[in-house]
Amino acid sequence: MMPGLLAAAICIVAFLVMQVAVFNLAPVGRRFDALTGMWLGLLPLYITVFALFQHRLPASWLAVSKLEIIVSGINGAVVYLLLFLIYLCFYFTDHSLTVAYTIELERRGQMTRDDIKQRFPHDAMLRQRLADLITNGYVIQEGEYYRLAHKGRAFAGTLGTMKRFLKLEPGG
Amino acid sequence: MTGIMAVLTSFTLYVLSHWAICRWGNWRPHSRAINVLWLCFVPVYGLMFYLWNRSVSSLSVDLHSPDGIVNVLNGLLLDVLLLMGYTYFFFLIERGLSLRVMIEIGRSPQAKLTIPEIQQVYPYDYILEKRLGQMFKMGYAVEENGVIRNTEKGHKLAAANRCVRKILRLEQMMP
Repeated sequence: MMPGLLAAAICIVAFLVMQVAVFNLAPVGRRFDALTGMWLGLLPLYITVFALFQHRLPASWLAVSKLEIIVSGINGAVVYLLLFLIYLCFYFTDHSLTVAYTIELERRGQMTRDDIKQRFPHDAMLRQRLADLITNGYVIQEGEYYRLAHKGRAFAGTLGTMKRFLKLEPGG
Repeated sequence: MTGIMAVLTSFTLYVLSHWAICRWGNWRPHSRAINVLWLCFVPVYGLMFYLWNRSVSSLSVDLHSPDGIVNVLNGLLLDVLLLMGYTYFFFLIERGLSLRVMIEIGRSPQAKLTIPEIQQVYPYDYILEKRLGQMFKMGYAVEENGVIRNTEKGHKLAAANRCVRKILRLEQMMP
């Protein structure tokens, strides 16, 4: 397992460094696509580092059979994938209203409910979210109306069914 | 590979148990249910590791060897990473604003809505009270005579988020 785990650790560090550098150098439009592109771009590095460790680590740390080597490689890749997904959750906290409220409270010291409503107006907030959903192909705008694109129907249908099954409705 | 098999088994059982609690139980808040239940399933991981190790000869590892220790720790690492991913996924379903908007659009009679119509079916008071309720419950903020302010914990959360936003150049999604 060690070569895969070490390769995953090196690649996620390389991903973080690359991401901070790229996002500080130029404005990035579709951030999710950019992050995914960087993660995918580092997969060849993962394979190279894994192969290196597979030859250089002490024998007691290495898999012996061909099957074990494959499992070790896949395991490391899964760890690299999970770390990336968790990082995405962390990264997209800019969508979190709770965090936005906390930062604004910090800036102003104290607020009433009306202050919060004025600072984060409902329609502007919805417009922003819908614009984001349109950019990512989930929603289509027709005049004043918004309807779901095919991707949005599949997404909302699947997660909506799950939400109903888990009795989490209305939620949001 | 024993750790992987053990974590796959124990985490599947964990998710199924959590779904059963959501559907038929009433354990709130969700965050506590997710974390406490996961802790209860850590010994299940240990048991599954033991069972796979004993019952399948091809998965058998010596727990005193470096490979055996790495095997156990690798399974635990996967367990923690899966928990973090699952927690995010669960709250995306439970609390996601964009998802709720899409569900409301999809369920409307004409399958399309204007912004004022979305505001009617998904009122701001509901959004605000849910977030504030969570902030009070988690100890990030307090309310005194209708005035809300951050606690020390909220102050730390805001400071950490501002720092991360600066380093990662996160744009504020909110207006």
